[in-house]
Amino acid sequence: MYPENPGVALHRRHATILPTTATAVGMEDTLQRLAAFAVRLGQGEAIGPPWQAGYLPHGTRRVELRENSAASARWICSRRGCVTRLSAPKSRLPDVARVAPAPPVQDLAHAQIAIVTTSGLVPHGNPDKLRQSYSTEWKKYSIDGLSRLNPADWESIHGGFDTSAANTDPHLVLPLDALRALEGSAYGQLHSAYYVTAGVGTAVSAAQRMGAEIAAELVAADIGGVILTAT
Amino acid sequence: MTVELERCGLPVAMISALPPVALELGANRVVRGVKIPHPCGEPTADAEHDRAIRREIVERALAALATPISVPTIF
Repeated sequence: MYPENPGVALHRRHATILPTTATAVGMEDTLQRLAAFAVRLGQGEAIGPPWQAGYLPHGTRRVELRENSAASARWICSRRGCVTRLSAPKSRLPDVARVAPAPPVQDLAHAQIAIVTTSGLVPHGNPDKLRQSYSTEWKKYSIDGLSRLNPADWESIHGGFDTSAANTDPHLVLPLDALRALEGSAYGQLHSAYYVTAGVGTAVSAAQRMGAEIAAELVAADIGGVILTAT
Repeated sequence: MTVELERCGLPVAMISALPPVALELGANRVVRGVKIPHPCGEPTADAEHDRAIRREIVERALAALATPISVPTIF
């Protein structure tokens, strides 16, 4: 798996995962490494740490005995005048930042709610040429005065899932009809525009930048809370 | 993206068909959606049932936004 694939974070503790390139371009090399690794596993060989054996870290630490105690290793080093270095994994997982939960919307009945989606839903014909995958940009489109999303006017250009259902009824990825029905009763009002990118193969760093840019706009617009639909 | 929005103090209800992935990516308020290609509805259901599913999901998202939490939570 590509190290940024969400499946890595989900399964790396239970499965041994070899890193691949972002696309199928590196498949030949990957399969060779995979085959060699499988043979080693099959023969019951001891598999070393990830930075030696070339798999993605399981996220766990294993205790092992070294030939020399830490004290004697340090003593030998100081006699030789060498500098001890920690081995570093060659293939690091992207660090996923975590933040404490934001405080809840205080007064939902009067709050302005914004909708953000990674579903790639854009006006029909994709006038701004939003990329289908490996997105580095986001767009915002007005939904001011719109009560429904007419499938003739909108389409999902997302390159990572079957968009036929979303193209038949855009509400399946952007629930404007339900948000309008609840506007003014369950919550205050809906923000006049929605924000969109196509979330597939997006680098963590790009997603972080886009999130920060959208956040700055929403804070400036006095938004109380965000509903984000992810596909 | 969810993390960056929350970092700015904006509560985010993330509607996702894969809540464990959303949690791994650092989302705090995760709302269980239907399926990856259609998180906010069920296209195989009749129109009325589909609308009811969608409304319930949006209501859950709004409730999530109004709920104080201290740890990541699935709604």
